[in-house]
Amino acid sequence: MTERRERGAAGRWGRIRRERRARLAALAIAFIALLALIGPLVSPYAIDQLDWQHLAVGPGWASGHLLGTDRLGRDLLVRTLYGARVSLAIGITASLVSVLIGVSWGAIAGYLGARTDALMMRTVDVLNSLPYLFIVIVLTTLMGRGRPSVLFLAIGAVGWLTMARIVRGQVLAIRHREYIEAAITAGAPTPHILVRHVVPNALGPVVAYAALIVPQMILFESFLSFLGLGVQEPLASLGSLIREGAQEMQSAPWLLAAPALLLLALLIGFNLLSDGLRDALDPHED
Amino acid sequence: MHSTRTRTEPLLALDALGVRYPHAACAAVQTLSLSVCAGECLGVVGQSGAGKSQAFLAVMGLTAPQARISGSVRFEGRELTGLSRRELDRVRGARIGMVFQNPLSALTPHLRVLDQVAEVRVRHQRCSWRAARLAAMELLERVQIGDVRARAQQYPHELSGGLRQRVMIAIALACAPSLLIADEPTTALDVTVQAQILALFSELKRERQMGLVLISHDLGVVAGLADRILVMQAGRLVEEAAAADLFAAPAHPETRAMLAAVPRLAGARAASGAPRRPAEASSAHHPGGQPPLLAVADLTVRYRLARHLAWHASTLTALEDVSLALEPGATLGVVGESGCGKTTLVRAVLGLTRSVAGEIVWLGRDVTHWSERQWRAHRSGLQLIFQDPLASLDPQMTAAALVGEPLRLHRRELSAGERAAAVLRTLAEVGLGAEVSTRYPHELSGGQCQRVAIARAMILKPRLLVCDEAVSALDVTIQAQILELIARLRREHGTAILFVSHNLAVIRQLCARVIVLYLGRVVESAPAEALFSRPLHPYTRALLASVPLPDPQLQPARLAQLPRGEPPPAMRVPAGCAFHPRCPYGQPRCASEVPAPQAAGPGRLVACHRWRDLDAEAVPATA
Amino acid sequence: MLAYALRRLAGIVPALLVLATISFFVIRLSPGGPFDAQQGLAPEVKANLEAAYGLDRPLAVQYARYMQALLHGELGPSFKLRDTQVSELVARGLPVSALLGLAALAVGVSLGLAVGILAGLAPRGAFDHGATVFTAVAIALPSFVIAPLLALLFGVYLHWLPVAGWRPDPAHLALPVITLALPLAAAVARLTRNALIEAMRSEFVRTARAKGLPERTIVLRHALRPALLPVVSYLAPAIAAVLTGSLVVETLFSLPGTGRYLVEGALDRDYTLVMGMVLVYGAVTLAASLAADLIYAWLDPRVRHD
Repeated sequence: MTERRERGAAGRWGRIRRERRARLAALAIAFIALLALIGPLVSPYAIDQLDWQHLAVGPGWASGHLLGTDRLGRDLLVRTLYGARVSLAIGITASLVSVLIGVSWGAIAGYLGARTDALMMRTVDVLNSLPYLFIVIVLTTLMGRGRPSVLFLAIGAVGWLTMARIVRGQVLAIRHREYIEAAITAGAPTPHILVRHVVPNALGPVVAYAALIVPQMILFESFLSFLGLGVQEPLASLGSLIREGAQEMQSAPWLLAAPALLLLALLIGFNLLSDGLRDALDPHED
Repeated sequence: MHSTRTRTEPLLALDALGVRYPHAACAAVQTLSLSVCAGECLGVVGQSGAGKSQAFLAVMGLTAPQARISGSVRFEGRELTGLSRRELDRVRGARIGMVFQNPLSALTPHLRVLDQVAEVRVRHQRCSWRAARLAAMELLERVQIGDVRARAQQYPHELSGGLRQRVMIAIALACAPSLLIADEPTTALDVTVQAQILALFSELKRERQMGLVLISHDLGVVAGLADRILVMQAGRLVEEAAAADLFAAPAHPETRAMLAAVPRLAGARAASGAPRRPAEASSAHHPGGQPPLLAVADLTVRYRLARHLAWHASTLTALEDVSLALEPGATLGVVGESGCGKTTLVRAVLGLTRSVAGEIVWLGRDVTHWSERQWRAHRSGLQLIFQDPLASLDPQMTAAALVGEPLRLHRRELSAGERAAAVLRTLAEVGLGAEVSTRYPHELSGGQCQRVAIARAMILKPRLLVCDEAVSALDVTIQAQILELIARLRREHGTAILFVSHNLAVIRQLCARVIVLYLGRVVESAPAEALFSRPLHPYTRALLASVPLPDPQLQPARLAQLPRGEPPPAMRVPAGCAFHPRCPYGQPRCASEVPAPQAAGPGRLVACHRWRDLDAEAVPATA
Repeated sequence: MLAYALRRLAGIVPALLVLATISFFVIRLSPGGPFDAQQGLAPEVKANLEAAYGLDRPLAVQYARYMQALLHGELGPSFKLRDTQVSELVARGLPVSALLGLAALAVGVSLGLAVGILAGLAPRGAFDHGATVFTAVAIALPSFVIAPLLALLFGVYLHWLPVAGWRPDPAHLALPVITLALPLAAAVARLTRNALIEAMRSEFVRTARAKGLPERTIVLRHALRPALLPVVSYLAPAIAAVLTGSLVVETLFSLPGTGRYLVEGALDRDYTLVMGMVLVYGAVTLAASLAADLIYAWLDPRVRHD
């Protein structure tokens, strides 16, 4: 018999644990999240506190502001960490919404098949024909910018599309596998089949992709904020901070560097995590 | 570039060839020595993993990059190991041709078939594309591809398996090589197509005086062609003899096991050498016994294929007017090649297909149009074993969970402990020890997976077990074991068996009655003994003639009964008798009138206009 | 092949229709828009609006007129810039954006293919490792981070390239195009590399070797096409990514393209402008999607019978 590779749940968790990239990435993200949560709480500065004595100073120990201040004397470190918190919060919440909607939509379409599937996926196709961002822009134009609830809605509303596609593809492939037919001939009712056979087997790529959605959501939000359509003053997210930093880039480059690098770290971390998860869970290995 | 050599020097000589992979426990090939002469056919047989393919991939320099090759390979007097890529390229394709097992994945999907043949000539003979294409056309005709002009311009996925394999042969022959290596060339093909391809090899060998190496796990396949046969086991050569000698008096236990495992059409021998009993006729075989478990009458299944932008939807008739009956504890075999509708029959009988006309009666109830919900309560009585053992098991469930699932569904009153005990008992019954119960499907061999599937099916003691090509994906020796298991379970539990297969010999071993399907219609129905000793329908004869026999004496004589050409695509069933375009005995009447099944003796039905004439002719015994 | 093309074309029409219908309703129903009763408009302006949009007619007629206008390429007047038609703005901005987009596409795809093929031919070699790291980073980098950084480096510190303003010459194009092309090149490189490695390990490449074909022929004639397939599949999302990226790039480098109009329109809540732009982008995306599908079918004959 040909060599069999390790597949299925037996090897799954073991491989995830062994996947070094994924572990490192997960650690890095956790670290940043921790900082973002605790930082603004323990910092001696509030995010909108103005320090008249240290206007637009660069990073250093002397001023008491580790990363420097902006034009209005606000501490960059605390603002950056706060921005990370907002970005992460929006990113993760929007991802959860996307995953929930996407998985349900895709699973139903994939399992019921035929007309239902065609209709549901047509909807996805039409919504997909526009780059996500444009739909979001339209929505924010309609509903006014700045309100976080609008942001959640807008971003989550488009994020589920690809997830629905992936889940549907998985479910469709699994539905025709012989072990599903075997379950039917054994007399299993549909809910039993879905829960015990379809979902556990479809989980792999779904989890890997879910990890990829979070950075996408963070990116959307940053994008919007950068364009001025996202979070508004006095709230700050990494995107809006980068926008401010870009405006002052010639005179105070640290204002751009800090949020940009932190955003980069988050994005690379999530991408690596997703890569690692995908390598571990996807049956098409090697 | 050929060194002068005498006639008697072998074309290909391997001396202590070894192939080793870095992380494997043992070598794939160990100190293999053999030789092939011009005009000779060498058969190389062995089970999967015996190293037969690896050895010849090493000859061609096609093993994976991490393989370590040792020993010597001399071809036409020249040492091949250690040649540079450029020099090896001059030999490959030009002097040695290779045909691979799976023609769909072995042909480039985006190039036309003609070009794939022509490019070999362009490369080696430096001729123009035009000249090469012309030569390629002739070659495609020589390998018996009908309608060559149209076919040559098609892509591999548009051709059937048999045609694709002929294209591969044409590619291998493009530059008239002196040696042709065929690695399991017919394993993926239907039995009649396989017979045609083997006949083609035979002709080519005679015509061109080529050396031919035929690799297979099936001794029957090499029987008709090979002059000498090599048996390999675990990377080593264990026996080598002239074909006739090997079949008459096998020496090594591995050879004997392989020979015994080949299901025979009659006079089978068990692994110990004692004659095996032919399929037992069940007591309920004669009419007038108990009422049938399953009765199918005039079953017709049609599918409508919608095509966007087509003027009309075409209809695919998968089954037409199929009738059969199965008594309790009886065995019924359904025989046919791909496209005959056997899978559709299985699905219809199990209530997995909806678009059904006719009548299906199970345990006295008309279940033809039952919904899934109505079926569910009765499912425990009818179970199914699939062709691909691994695919029918959920990869993330252990063997114990899989076998225990039917109990969870139908016997909820059992406690977890009782369930576990029942699972272990059933696993033991199918020959698996308790240690298997915690393993996952990918950790089991093909044979073990199929045993788990059988355990799962038998745990509720069904009255009918349907086997859909249940042993086709297994090695010959494992096939024999699984068949014996099914026969034993039937004896012990009185389960009726409906066995669907393209392999007549397998059916012969297990079933007391046989029906033969061709393109969705029953062409013959008879008790097994009668069918095999006196086949009436031309298609049945063709099938019997196609079965590769491990008996070199008889093989050549049966070639005359082979059908012509390929089975037509299922959407274009010929008018009149479906078999008439390929039938060696066709008459004008056959093209216009559909033959109705006629009684032809006790318990026999034949759907052929000429069966009486044919019966009167002497039919060569199928031994 | 033709039947396949027609089928795909027919599939696009409903999408366009839906888009146009959504656009119509957004404009009609949006709060703060020209039809909001709370707007304190001067009566003449209001009368003009009503005449222009046919507000006195029933909704169905308005819809029909809107669709008809669309077919003629009229996207209505801009809400904020009262004297300008949206189509004028589109016409003004399109050449800039088109030039930018096409250049970015060309540079990104060629660079990506080159890197991907070279990496794929020598897997696990030095070049491959370097390329893998580079692509991982470049894919993660959002355009609005790259752009300011590049602008900082090449524009402010080195004074090599202009940071703002527009003239259709290579110098002004360089930074925006590079910003857009980098993530694209990275994605393409990765896809090509993986697909090429897989193709080189396939059974039909083994057959090609058994034919005695030289490695170069095998790569070019047999392995390359399957390696290009995932890239073509990616083309439609790639174009979408370039379109979205162009918004940032045009804003940041102050280029007078359609993207900037869109962003400004969104900030100003100029509905007709926004919807008009969105329609144009939508049509472009759908057209790109169609083109990608057709190229794919040309490369892979198996798909044509779909």
